[in-house]
Amino acid sequence: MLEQVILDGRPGTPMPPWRRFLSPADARWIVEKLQEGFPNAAN
Amino acid sequence: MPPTESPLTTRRHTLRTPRAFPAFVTLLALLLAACSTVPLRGTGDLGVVIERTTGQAQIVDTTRDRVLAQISGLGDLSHATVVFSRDQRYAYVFARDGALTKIDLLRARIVARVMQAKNSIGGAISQDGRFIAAANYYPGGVNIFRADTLAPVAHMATRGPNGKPSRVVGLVSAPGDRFVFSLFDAGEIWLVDLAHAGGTAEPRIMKFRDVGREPYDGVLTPDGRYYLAGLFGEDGMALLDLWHPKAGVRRILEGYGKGRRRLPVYKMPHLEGWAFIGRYAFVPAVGHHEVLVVDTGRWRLAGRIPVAGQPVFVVGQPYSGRVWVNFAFPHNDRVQVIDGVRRRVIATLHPGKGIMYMEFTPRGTQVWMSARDSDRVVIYDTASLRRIASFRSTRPSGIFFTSRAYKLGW
Repeated sequence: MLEQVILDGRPGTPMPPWRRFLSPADARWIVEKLQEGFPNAAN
Repeated sequence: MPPTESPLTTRRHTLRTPRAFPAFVTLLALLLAACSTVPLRGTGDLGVVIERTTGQAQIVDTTRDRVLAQISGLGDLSHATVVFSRDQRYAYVFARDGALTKIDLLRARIVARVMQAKNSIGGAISQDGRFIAAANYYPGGVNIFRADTLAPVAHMATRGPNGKPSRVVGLVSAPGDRFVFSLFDAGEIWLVDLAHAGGTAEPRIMKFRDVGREPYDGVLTPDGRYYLAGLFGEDGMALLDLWHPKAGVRRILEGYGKGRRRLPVYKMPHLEGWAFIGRYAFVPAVGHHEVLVVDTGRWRLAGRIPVAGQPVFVVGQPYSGRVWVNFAFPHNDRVQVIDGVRRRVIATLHPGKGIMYMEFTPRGTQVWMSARDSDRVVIYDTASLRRIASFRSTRPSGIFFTSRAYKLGW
């Protein structure tokens, strides 16, 4: 679900599609990191 | 003790004790001179470079093209803005994590700091230099502080008509100790008057509703008359005449992208560095590879200039008739120079990877560009368009020179 938002964006909002630049695996990695608390995990 | 105080202190002693302690006075003068670790110098050619990933900033000298010092502990600088005190000695850094830090540029140290929100986008300093205003995303609202001590003066919650808190963008200082800003989520512009604030009086607020969908940034025209907000949620801009605020906010450039598909936007454009040449203003088009030319007499679209990508900053080179443009990902490895009179691109430069910002020296002879992904600040001579110097900087983003202290809008 969140992977799809990253890859295809959300029309009508500022979120753009990243499919041209990211693979589904990249998107999955980002979702995992976000759910872990990234990018503030180091603080 | 600031270095400028030593001669004054010495003189006072001399006047009070004309002959009694000449040796003591000399000794005192020497001691005071030794205490001041900073050599006497002006601050008009200084600046601040934000290093976005390390919470640091470099203090730079634009006469000698070098880094003087580095300041640490400024917070999350993934989106940071800097404004300057009216004497150009102090820099105020607004960090993304809500930190507001006051830096003494001469001594290269932090002199005051407050955590004023959880997520902040920027701020400005009032016309008389007494107040600092910070614009916040979370929990929203605008906070006002005394510029000398950073003591809080006022807090304004920014709720729209539905009662929901709104993110604040495009906060600028305006003539008469006023601030103007936009509410991204609520689609409003607020005009705040601090003329009677500072004591117990509350700031007076004029609210303009339904200015357009999702204002994303705002700018004050150089004459201090107009506040212009760019709209993200629709093609157009919102215009407030500060000389006639009761006339309300006008929508301009409506439908500038009509009939053409808007491209996905990978980075929000900014308006703060916008360019004026004669009666024409040059602004970024949202979602199009164009710079828009606006006739500021009638506030109508006067032309479009095709460029290499989606513009982020469209900045006027002082005293030149030229406009410089950088671009959103994936075209952020180039900068284009536009002849603003002929309205065409005259040069495409490749200063480095991830060009974040372009700041001109006060009279426009040099432009300093931050190449984030090259870890360098690159300096070009604006006459020859050649690179003349560069220095290392860790993921540099914003570059701010003290000459901003004398301009309203920041």
